[in-house]
Parts: sequence; C-alpha cells; structure tokens
Amino acid sequence: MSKLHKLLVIVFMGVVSPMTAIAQGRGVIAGQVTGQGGAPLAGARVTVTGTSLRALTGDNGTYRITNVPAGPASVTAQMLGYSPRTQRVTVPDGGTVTANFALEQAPLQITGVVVTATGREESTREIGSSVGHLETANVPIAATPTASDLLAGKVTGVVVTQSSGTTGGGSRVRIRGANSMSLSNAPLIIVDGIRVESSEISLGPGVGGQSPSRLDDLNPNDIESIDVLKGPAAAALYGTAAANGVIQVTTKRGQAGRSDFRVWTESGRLNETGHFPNNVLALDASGNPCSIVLQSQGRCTVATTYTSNPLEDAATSPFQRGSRQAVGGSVSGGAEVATYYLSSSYQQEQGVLPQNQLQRLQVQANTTGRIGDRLNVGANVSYLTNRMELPLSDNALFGIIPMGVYGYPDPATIAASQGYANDPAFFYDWKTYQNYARITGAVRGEYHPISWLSLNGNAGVDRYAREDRNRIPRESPYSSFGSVYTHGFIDNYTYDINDLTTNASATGIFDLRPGLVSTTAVGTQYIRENLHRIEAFGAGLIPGVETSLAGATSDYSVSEVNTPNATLSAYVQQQFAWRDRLFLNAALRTDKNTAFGTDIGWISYPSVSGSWVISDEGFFPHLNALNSLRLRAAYGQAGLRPGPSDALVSFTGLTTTFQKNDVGAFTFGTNGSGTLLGTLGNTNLKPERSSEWELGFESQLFNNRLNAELTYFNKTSKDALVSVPLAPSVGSGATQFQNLGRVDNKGVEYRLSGTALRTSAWEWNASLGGSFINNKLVDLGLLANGNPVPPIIFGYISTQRHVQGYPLGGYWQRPILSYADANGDGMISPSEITMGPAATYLGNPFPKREMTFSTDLHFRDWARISALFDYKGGQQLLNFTKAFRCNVNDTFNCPELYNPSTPLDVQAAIEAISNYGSYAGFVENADFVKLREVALTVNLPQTFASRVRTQGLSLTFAGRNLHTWTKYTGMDPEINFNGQANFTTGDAATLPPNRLFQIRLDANF
Amino acid sequence: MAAAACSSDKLVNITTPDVIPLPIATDPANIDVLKNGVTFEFARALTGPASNNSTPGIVGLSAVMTDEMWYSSTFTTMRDIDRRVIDVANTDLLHGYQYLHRARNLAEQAIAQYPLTPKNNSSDHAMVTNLAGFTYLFFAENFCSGVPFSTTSLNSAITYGPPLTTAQTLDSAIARFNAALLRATAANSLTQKNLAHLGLARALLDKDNFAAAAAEAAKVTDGFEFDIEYSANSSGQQNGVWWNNQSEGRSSAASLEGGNGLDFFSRGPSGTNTTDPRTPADSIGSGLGQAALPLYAALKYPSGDAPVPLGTTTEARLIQAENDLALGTSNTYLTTLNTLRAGIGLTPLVDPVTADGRVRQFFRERAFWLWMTAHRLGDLRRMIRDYGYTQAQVFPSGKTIRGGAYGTDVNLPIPFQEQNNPQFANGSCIDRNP
Repeated sequence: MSKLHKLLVIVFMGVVSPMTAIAQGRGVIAGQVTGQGGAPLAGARVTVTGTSLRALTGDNGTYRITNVPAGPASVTAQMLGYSPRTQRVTVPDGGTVTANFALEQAPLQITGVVVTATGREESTREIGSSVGHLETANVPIAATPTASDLLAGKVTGVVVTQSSGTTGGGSRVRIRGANSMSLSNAPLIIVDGIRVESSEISLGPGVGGQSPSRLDDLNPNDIESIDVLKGPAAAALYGTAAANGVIQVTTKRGQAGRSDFRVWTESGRLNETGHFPNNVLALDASGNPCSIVLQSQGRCTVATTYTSNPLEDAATSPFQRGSRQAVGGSVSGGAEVATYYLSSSYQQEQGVLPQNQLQRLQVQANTTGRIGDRLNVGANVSYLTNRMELPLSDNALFGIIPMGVYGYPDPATIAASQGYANDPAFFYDWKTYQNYARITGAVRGEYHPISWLSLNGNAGVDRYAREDRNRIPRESPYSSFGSVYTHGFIDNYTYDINDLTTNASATGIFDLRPGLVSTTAVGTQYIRENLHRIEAFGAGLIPGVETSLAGATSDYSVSEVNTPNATLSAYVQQQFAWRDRLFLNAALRTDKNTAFGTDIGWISYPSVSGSWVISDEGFFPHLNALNSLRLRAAYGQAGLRPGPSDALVSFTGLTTTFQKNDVGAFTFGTNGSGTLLGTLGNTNLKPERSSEWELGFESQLFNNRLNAELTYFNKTSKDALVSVPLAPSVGSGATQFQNLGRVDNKGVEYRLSGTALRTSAWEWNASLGGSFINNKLVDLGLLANGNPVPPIIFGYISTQRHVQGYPLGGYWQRPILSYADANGDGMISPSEITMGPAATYLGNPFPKREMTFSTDLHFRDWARISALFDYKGGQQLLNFTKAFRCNVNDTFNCPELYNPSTPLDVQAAIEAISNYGSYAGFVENADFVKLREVALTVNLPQTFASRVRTQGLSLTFAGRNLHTWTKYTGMDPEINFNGQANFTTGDAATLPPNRLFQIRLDANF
Repeated sequence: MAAAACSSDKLVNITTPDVIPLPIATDPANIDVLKNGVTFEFARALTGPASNNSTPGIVGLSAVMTDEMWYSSTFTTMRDIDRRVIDVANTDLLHGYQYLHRARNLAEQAIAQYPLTPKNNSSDHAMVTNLAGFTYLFFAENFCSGVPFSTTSLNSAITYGPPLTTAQTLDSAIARFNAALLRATAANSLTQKNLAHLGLARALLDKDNFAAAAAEAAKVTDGFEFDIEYSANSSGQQNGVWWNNQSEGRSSAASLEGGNGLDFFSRGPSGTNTTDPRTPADSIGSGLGQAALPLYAALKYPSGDAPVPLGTTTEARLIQAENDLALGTSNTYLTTLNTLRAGIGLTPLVDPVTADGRVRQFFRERAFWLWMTAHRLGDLRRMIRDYGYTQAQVFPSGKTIRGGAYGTDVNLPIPFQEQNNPQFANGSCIDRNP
C-alpha cells in the first residue's frame, strides 16, 4: 500500500473513530418560502448545505426541517423559475430557528443544489466548475419518452445523437468531446448515489447496427433532476471511470404532508420519415447496364429502363404506422419522521417496422425516515422488466431496408423478390429479442453524532438478468444457405450483470473564525462490477420445439465470458468558505483497480476549484444592468480504466480436431471462438488520465430578466490507451493496449436565457445555449523503436482514422482534386477526374458546434407551449447507402448512374468510387437544424377537474423530430448504421428517427 | 476499514476464470494441449474460421484470386481480391496474413517447448515442425517477396524479424522440413517423414530446382495422405472453405472464370455440373445477397468436417512429372499423369506436342488434382516465372463475373499493419514479381 493511501486511511480513521461517540444537540429550521408579491410557493426545495437534510414546502409555502445539528448551518431555498437564496443560520440546541425566503423570479439559477460524490448536497455557488442541472418538472415529458430524449439539447456541452428510428435503439451521449481512442467515451451514470450499468451498446447478437443503451432504462417520469458533471474538473472525486463526465440522476421522493396521488397516460403515433430513392436499372439491348459513362464513350445505348421502389410502394413497403401507449401512477407523502414515493408505469411501443416492438413495466419506491434525532435513513428500489424485439437493419444483409435500397427493378427480381435484393421473407423470419429484468436498490444513512460532524454511508446494487436471442424458424428460406440454417437455429445469450457500490464518508464543518467556514470530508468507496455471459447456439430445430434450444439437434456451440472488476478508493476533500461568497476547494482521490497492470499500484486524482460570488462583495456596484455575478475556476483529474483483461498475459482455450477426436487446445488470446484475433496483454497498463481546467462565470442582468453563462474548458487526456496494431508477423495478438497517446478537447459553452415578456397573464421565456469544441489527437505515441505509431484505420470500409494532429475518428479518403467535362459531352469519364495520391482528411463525423434554442410561452396557469430547436454543425457523414448504390462494382441501381443530367460533382463522386475506390464524394456535410420538441400543455379548469374528482387535470400535445433542415442528401444527417459505436459512423441503410406525435393526460388527486 | 485498506489487493485482484494463465500454458506437462493449439491455428490458417463473413484462409484466398472461385457476396474487400486489385489496407488480406503468422509462431513456440518435455523428437514434435514449414511455404507461394517473420514467445516477449525474400522464405521452409525429417526419423513416423519429404519437394519446386524436387518427391511412399482435420463439433472447428461456399454462399466454386479460367465443371443447372471426379460441383442457387451471381458448391468439401489434404502421394508424383516435363520439351510426364488418371478411371491424355500445349495440359492436371488446396496461385505464378507466360495469359482476365475489370496483381501484398514492425524498414513488398 502506498504512503499516500495509508495517509488517507489514517486521516479517515482519525476523523471518524474518536468522534462517533460524542453526542450533540439537535434543532429545527423552519420558515416560509414566498415568491412574487409575497405569495407562498408550494413545492420549493429547502436544503441544509453539507447534509442530506431537506424539505419541500407545502401549499402555504412553509417548511420544517428537523434533526438539524445545533450550531451554524447554511440553508438554501430553490424553485424552478426563481433565483435560489441561501442563508446562514445558527440552529439552537432543542430549539427552532426561522429562515424565511423571498425568491425572485429568474429563468436561470446562479446557484442551486447538486449532489456530490461524497453523498452530500452542495450549493452550486460553492462549486468552481460548471455543473449542468436539469429539472424534469420543466420538461414536457410527453415529448421526451426516453432518458436520452430528456437529455438531448438540454445541457450545454452534452451532445446526444439519436442513432436511428429503431424502437428500443439508443443514443450516443458525449460530454465535451471524445477523450479515448480505445475505451468507451460514454459518461458514467450514477442513480441516487449508486453506480449503474451504463453500456451504450447492450446487445449480444448482431442485428446490423442498432442496439439498446442502458441509459434508456431510466424512466423520465421517475426522475426528479439530473446533474451533469462535465469532465474531470467537476468529477475528479469519481476517479477511475469519470473522465467522460458523470450523469447523476436523482429520483423523485415524497414530501411530508398529505398523500399525493398522480396518474398519467400517453398515447402516441410514430411516423417513418425516410424518403427512399428509386432503384433504377438502364440496360442496353444485350441486357447489360448502360451507365452514362458507357453512354458517353459510345459503348452502349439504353434500350430499357426499369424503376421500382419496394420500400415506398404501398404494395411492398414494410412500413406501418408505429404507436406508443403508456400509463402510470404514483403516490407520495409522509410525515416528518418518514416520507415515501411509490410509482409504477407500463409502456408499449410498436415501431414503424413490424419486427420492432417494446413492452416495459417499471416500479419505483423511495423512502426516507428519521430514527431518533441523529440518524436519517433512506432506501430506494426500482424494478424494470422489459421485452423488446429488434429488426435486422443497417449493415444486415437481410434487413428490409438494405434489401430495399440495394434491390433491382428488373422484371426477374420483381418476380422473385418484389424488387428487394433478396426474398423479403428472410427479414420476417429472423427474430431478435432482448428480454430482461433489472433491479436497482440502495440504502443510505446519515448520522450526526455532533453538531459539526456528519457520517454518510450508502450501499446499493444494480443487477439485471438479460436474455438476448436470435432465432429463425425450422421452415424458412434461410435453409437455402447451408446446413446451419437448414431447419432453423437459436442463438441465445444470457447475461447476469451486477454492479455493487458502497460508500462511506465523514464530513466535518468548523467555523474557524467569524466568516470563515471549513468543511472537511474524507471517505472511501468500493465498487465491484461483473458481467457474466453464456452464449449457446443450436440448429436443426425439431418440429414443435422451435423456440427453445431444447429443440436443437446440431451445430451446438457454447461459450462463457466473465469480466469481474473492482475499484477501491479513498478520498479527502477540503473546502474553505469566506463569508459565503468565496469558496476554495481541494480534493484528492486515490484508486486501485483490477484492470491496472500488475506493475501498477494506486493512482491518484487531485482537484482544486474556486468560486467567487463577486456581486455579493461590498465593493461591487449595485446596478440594474448587472444584478449578480459569480466567477469560477476549476482544475481536476479523472481516469478511465483499461478493459478487464487488457493487462493480462493469458491464453484462450479452444477445441480442435486431432486424429478424429475433438480435443482441447490453447493459443494466444482470441476474441470469440477463434474468429477474431485478440489483444496481447500488457502488464504495465495504467488508466487513461484526463486533466481539465475550466474558467467561467454566471450572471444575472437587467433586473434578473437575462442570464448569461460562459465556460471555457481545456481537457487533456494523457496516457491515452492506444490499441496499437501489432505487426501481424508477431503471430500473437492483433493489437496491444499501450499508454501512449494524448487527446485534447478545448471549447466554450454558453447560454443566454431570459424573460422576454412578463405580464400578469403572460410570460415568455427563451434560452439560447450551445458549445464549440475542438477535438484533436495531439500525440499517438511512439513505437518501441522510436518511430511514430502509424494512423489507426477503422470504420466502415476503413474510411475513418485516428491521425496525429487531427480530430479523432475523422473521415480519410483519397480526395477528388478536380474534375472537368473536358470533351463537353456533359458527362464525367474516369479520365476527366483527378484523384489525390493519398488519403486526406475530409471531415469529422462529430459536431464541432452544437446549439439549442428553446422557448416557452405561459398563459396564466392555464397553458404552456414550448419548442426546442437543435442545431449541430461542423460534422460530416459517410453516405454509404448512396455510394453502394452508385458504385458500378456493387449495386449500380441509383438513378444518378444512368441520368445524363446528373450534376457533374455527383458524377465525379461516382467515378471516384467506381474506378478509384474512394468514398470521398460521399462524405457529405451533415449539419442540421431539427425542430426537436414542441409541446402544448393545457391545465383544464379547476371546476372541470373537480367534476371528475381530481385536484388537477392537464392535457399535453407533444411532437418530437418534427422537421429537419439540412443539405445532407441521405436519409437523415443524424443517423449511424453502427448505433452508439465509439467512433464508427456512417449512413448505411439506416432507419431515420421517427416523427412522434403524442397526447398525455395528467391527473392528481 | 483499516483492515480493508490493508487487504486492498484482495479486494481488487479478482481472477477471471475464462482464460488460461501463463504458468499453465508454459508447463511442459501441457505440451499436448499446446500442440493441439498448433493444429487449431494451422487449420484456421488453411481454410479460415467457419463464422459469419470470415476470411476464407489461404485455400480460399488462393482460390478466389485465381480461377478456382469467385466471390459471391457483398463485401468489397473480398471482391477486390477476386478481381486482383488488392490494397494493403484490405482487411481480408490482413486476416489471412495474421492467421498464417499465428499458426507459424505457435508452431515455432511449440517446437521450442518440446525439448523441455519427454516428447522431444516424437512424431508430434515432427508434425508441428512440418506444419511450421508449410506456413513458410504458403507465404512464399501466395505473398509477395519481403514478408517479415517475427515471433512472440509464450510469455509474450516480442522479437521483431526482418523481411525475407521469397527465396529466403523457402529456405526457412526447407530448414523446418529438414528438422522435421530428423525428428520423424527419430520417432520412426512414416507419415511425418513423407510429409517432410513432400514439403521439401514442394519448396524445391518453388525454387525452380526441378530435379532436386523430384528426388525428394520420389521418397514419398505410395498411399500417403496427410489431412488437416475439421469437425462438425462446433463452428470454430468446421472447414472454412465449406462454410464460406456452402453454408454462407459468400464464395462460389468457379468454372471458366474470366478469360483464362479452367472448365472445372459445367455451369448448368443443379445435378448437371460435375464433369470430372476431381472437381465435383453442384449449382446451389445464388450468392449471399447477390441474386445475380450464380453459386456452385465445391463438393470436394461436402460438409463442415471435410478434411483438407495437406500432402499426398499424388502431389509427389506430379512434382516428379513436372521434372519430366522439362519445361515442355518432353512428353514423358504423360506416363505419370495417365497412371494417376487411370487410378480413378479417367481416360488417358494424349501429347499435345507443342511446349505450350504440354505445359498447359500439365498445369490443368495439377489444377484438377490439387483443386482448392492452396496450390493454384503458386502454380499460376510459376507459369509466369518458369514458363514465360504473362499474367493476362494465365489468370482470369477481361470482364469479371460482376462486369468490372480484373487488375494485374499476381500475389498478395503485405498488410500495412506490418509497418509497425521496426525491422520492416521499407514498409512494403521487396517486389510484386510472380
């Protein structure tokens, strides 16, 4: 054990052990929260800073927080649409101190409360980094049916990209760019203090590209708020896992008072939005394709032209109107000693393809309680059961969309397969299911043995059992493809995944001198994760036993994967607060992890930050134009651990045949059953270490009607894990992870929001926020011989690269330098195009700019209409669908190939792919603006609500993905055939995101 | 808590039960399991893994690049190999190259491990040495000149090797076959002795030393055949050529491919295709995802457990016959060819009289006898190198079955990933000569 770690442990024990026995008095903080004109505010949240003590105000705006340690305390009141306020009070032993708050309306909060890694709630004014905060109460849930939808466009610096229109498909979430070439760039997800499984790609068998994301297991209806720690500067205390940022989810809880019953129901429609191009085949008299190039060379004359569009033709189109129904309810309430929140919901969604549906049942229960006057406890549990059917699509040969766009219109194909590339029965026969049950539960406690000390602890587990299954029936056209498919098969993946989290911390708050408060926190964390997967395959299904492996008679195969991982951590955090306006923080976390190489010990992550609410200083001028200003700065480090076995020098067990016997064998590591070549272990592996500093401010202007927020960040990932392609002649692994690279992400985040109109009846708010980001691979490292590691080539048809000096994952192809119709025949022939000699950078599939504009208009409490526009710019997308259709060596069925009026640039692109193998002409500008959300909520008159025995009724009409403005010529500029893949991006027969229209009815009792 | 901190290693050092730790792999007591690993790697290198869209191994690569097979599915990388326009970034090229190097390296590691065991100089020791020799042979026959040969020891220490010319690569093969011969002799294994003699003969033939090759071939006894085995037990053990061809439909047996392709069978409807018992075929529809491309089954491998002959007496006699051919100046080779044909009931061949006729007749016979056993690409290269033909005269040329044009590659280049080898200074083939 390192000296540093020993020191942390000793500090922890020194702080905690002797003091736990010391008793101290308790008191009560009570008061009222009011808003404009002194009107009481119901539902405002009041928290005691540095503790988990909190309360929500009742109908008369009053609150009461009991069991508060006697002595000085900081209390914050906040509510959506109002500027939070914080007060310092002294809690009398056995008595009550009053803290009333008069909140001013403000569309943006300069301070709020966020949950920190220590388990405590802190006022954002104390934090030196930018923390994104989202309250679901302010979001039209009807327009955001998934957690990914909920996040999209809501927090600056967080880019959420919907991969497709597949029901159950996920979204790619990136915060402040991609840090890692080799490890997942998805953020860490924490729910109520517990780490949960957060894979962005979560499907065993392949369906061509789309797969679920575990983020979408969260039910937006049960989420109270989301805090986004955007990078190491904010997330350092999460250590080895937090370099990509942290999404902290807080679920809803009950409040003391009468029981609150709520029910809701949603009904929606999904419309497919693609405009699939015609398939064209122009043939000469001999039946050979007669492209415009051949026409221009006088080598053929078009005798017959065939056109079809099996995806658009009503007689052959597979598309249907999708639908969505959901219903749910909750009850919450409690007393001072205990509160509860219980909810349940059910939803079903039928996608626009018949093979695509989802049913989901969720239950959530949260409780809080007080035991004695020093111990607060809480527990929460959620249960989810899910059944999903996913269609073949994208890069799947028998996906109905690829079969449609790559089909032929000639009479023979029409007769044989309706114009699809293959018999569409293939698509309908192939079934892929994902069924699982997931349970997440946690208990937590907060003990206040003395006024200045609180002890926090929580423990929780996230566990789910999942079954992913591919199967085709016994009698199927697939039987024409050899023995494996004859009489069907079942390929079954069963998963048992569990994450265990335990946290313990102690926080001491001291008044060092008048105006100077010291807060010291020490803690430890142990996290253990395990994925256990068994894949079983069998073919030759017996009649009558076609949905169970019990019916398999041949081609048996079985494999097992275990990926256990554990992280042990200790941390210490110190804060000094000067007159509640200047805050200085420093922290250090140290981790040990299973995946570190055997030669690596503890890894430490430091952080420092400062926050200065300069407008609270006496010298700050009191201006109507500038009401408040907070300056902040932060620096921190966080990490990403290697894969569970990347450091291991190990061998794989296999079966081979020798002298007619099946015998065991071992060889250098492989992936899968000998199909892929594996990674050679590296005993010196360390985590990737990302360090980040940021500077920023928030201010409220013009009588709090306009808010401005700006953050500059500079993030550097060192020791980046490079999956170095080994020279294949070494004859072992294909790659080896090495800590070699460096990746920079620099950028600016901004938000301007304000109230444009506020009258007694109307209020109109608007917000414009976004970010610019510059992602760059600064260093790819050196090989053992001192030579630079060569560019890493990957992606669809090897079109993407990690190249030093350029953004990660950029598109690289031989460029089209020039083209000209030299002979004036209106057509570009291969000799009339000049190609560059080597691949050059053509652009980035990830946006360099993102911006959202949201606005909402309220009319009294009767109605609210809101809209959100989402812009992403500076990105390109490989239109492989078009390239494959237009390549004369592949499908040659695109209209442009045969039409003499095809623009010359398109002709040049076709010639480049057909004759020079370059996709350069099909890497397209994919900037877009989407009308992402529109929602109208009408609160029905109280008289009507009472008539149906409710306290309130509201009706919401919502739409999502309503319109796209773009120059991209493919299906949609946002899609990715490879789902949420780390970098691989392209448009390859991918279903565009659907347009959703939905009605929601909410009632409370 | 303090106790937990002090035992932190216990909390984070978790064993993964799925993998074999180093001490087990290097234990001399487990030499048989290591030897089995060599046969696994070699079998995979020969035909490729039997799984979705897998690279078909050196047999399939040789077949697709020549007139034995055409590619019948959608992936552009295999299509480019079929039309002989092969980029160094071609991923199927990479996989075939990797498979072969893995088989070679593990065989070399097993060879080094045997002296630590009681099975030193056993027939198994001779076998893995022979298999190592064949990997060098396959590199020489199918890849360009300049392939580097590195090693990874069982404890993962990498030693980078420099590129070798084709002649040096063949010398490496010869060294392995000679070593195998000594071990086979010590073990009194006739099978491994035959395999070593055949390997030597094939390598010497590739070095254009016809007489020495014939002399070694003559030492191969009658009735010899050494197969690389496959099994239907699991998909990882199945014959990858069969899988690609008949299970997935991604590669089709070819006949009359391009301008020079041999008429291995008749391209008619099912049941009418086989015209020669050495190249049985049957029409089985169209290629995977390519309704317009005909698909023919190579019934030499009718099932997933069909073995691939690595060495046979027939091949040895063909090597002897080629020495008799004397570059087309003699017709004495016909005696051997007709003896072999008579053995399966085929009518005797007549002397075409011209040197061109004799050479083409001889190589046609080789092509039929050695169909889909990773000989054809090496043979077409030798027809150019030794007999003076151009690539356009022996390889499929003109219009591909898809309608595009063939390129001019006559061998497989070295994948660009080899540039990570510090000994691979020039970063590409020494030459692309036949």
